[in-house]
Amino acid sequence: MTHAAAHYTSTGLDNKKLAFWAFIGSECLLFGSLISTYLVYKGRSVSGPTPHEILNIPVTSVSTFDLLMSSLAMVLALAAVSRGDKLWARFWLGTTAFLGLVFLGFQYYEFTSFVREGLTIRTNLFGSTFFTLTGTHGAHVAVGVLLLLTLLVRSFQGKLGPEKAINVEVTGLYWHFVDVVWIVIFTVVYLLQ
Amino acid sequence: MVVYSGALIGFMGWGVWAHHMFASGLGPIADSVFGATTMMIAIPTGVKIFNWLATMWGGQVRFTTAMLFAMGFIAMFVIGGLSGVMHSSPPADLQQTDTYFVVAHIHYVLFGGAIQGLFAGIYYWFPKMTGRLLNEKLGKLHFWLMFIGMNLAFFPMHFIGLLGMPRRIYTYRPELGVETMNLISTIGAHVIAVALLFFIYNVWRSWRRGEVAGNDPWGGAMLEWTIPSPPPDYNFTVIPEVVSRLPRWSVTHMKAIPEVPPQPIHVPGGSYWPLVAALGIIGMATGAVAHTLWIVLASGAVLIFSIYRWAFEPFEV
Repeated sequence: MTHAAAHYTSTGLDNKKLAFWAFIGSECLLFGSLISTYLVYKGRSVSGPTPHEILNIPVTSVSTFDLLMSSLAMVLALAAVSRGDKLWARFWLGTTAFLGLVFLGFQYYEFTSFVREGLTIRTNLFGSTFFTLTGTHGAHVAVGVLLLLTLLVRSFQGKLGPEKAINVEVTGLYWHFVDVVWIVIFTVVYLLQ
Repeated sequence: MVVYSGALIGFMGWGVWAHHMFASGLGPIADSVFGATTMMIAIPTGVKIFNWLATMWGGQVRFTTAMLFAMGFIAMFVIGGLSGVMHSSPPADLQQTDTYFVVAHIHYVLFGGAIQGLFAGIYYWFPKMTGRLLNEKLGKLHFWLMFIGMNLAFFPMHFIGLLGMPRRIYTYRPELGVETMNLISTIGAHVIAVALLFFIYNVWRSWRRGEVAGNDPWGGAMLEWTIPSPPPDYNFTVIPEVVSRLPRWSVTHMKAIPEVPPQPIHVPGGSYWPLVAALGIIGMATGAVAHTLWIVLASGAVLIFSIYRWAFEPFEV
């Protein structure tokens, strides 16, 4: 049990971190393919609704801001865990997870209103590519919330001291990656119509 | 050279696939481009073959079963490669499409090439995997029967195809004059089957009563022969320091690998949770295919639960 910290590789990186970077590399390929699929089929839908008829930029700007702020909270959570500050670690981990849940709430609102307005995943090429891309992103946010809540529970169990900061760091890598992907999606899908 | 040729074959391999579709009317441009790349890919392949030959020329060849299969692989793969260059030319390919000539070609590449390569690997590494050698007498019997069988079965197909017999049709008119050659082909197929029976018997017998292999039955150059057969779960007691491309043969000997690990090696304990997690993914996919939401949700719960059990499983040393 005592040598759990001795996981350094010849690269000088902790092997958890190395594995997470490799995982994020493969995630880049996944989202790269979904974004390019969206772009390839952009403007090719035979029937509506089309993006400029249905996308709500003001509402999505708010949820984008919410996700950006969650990344800030994630940074503060890592700092708090690293210096062994349990109270603020719990506060910022909880805040990050909460902001993630708020983003998912926005997405739930967006998806249901789109369906009410007649855009489903099987309506047209825009619907198929849009829901696949943003839905996959939303699933990633949900997994991130699960990771954050797990860290929060571990903290309450007293098992998230500074020596476990690497777990918070890799969760942070994932969370920032998901945030960056959303910036790309927001730009490509919502702003560049 | 072998590596560069392999990389080049891998790269050019992206540009040859439509040679399977010359007869479908792709048009002159696609036909020429894919025909040209298919002819060009023969060059790095030829480089590889001459490399293998030169390796044997420079080495001391011992005719073990594994070596026989490796040599059979090179010879038969060359025959398959030559007929491959023949149908890289679209006009010639139009004559050969859907005839037994193509069947002969694929079997020289796939059976003469890939399958014999696999058997060479099995005979070479079986002792490393199980700790016991496969019987060489039975192995040589297996090789020669299979080698003769495959040539009896597949060589006449070249002529049968060029004489006009289409593939995937088992009846033909006697005036085509291919009865004798088809009979030889059939006999060859049965010889292959008998050869495989000898192989299966050899595996069954050698696994239980075969000659004990020890660390290195072949005098191999590579690292796998420095450790016991079968290898322990942790493979190497210490991370080996390699100073040469042929570490066991080089003048500067590699550091000896201790038999007992000098310090405890952390090997993860066995766990069923990865398997349960995988079953959860299968369930999710099945539920999605069946359009049944509760199966997806229930399997998703199984997946998440088993990931947590897996992640928080106590650490065993």
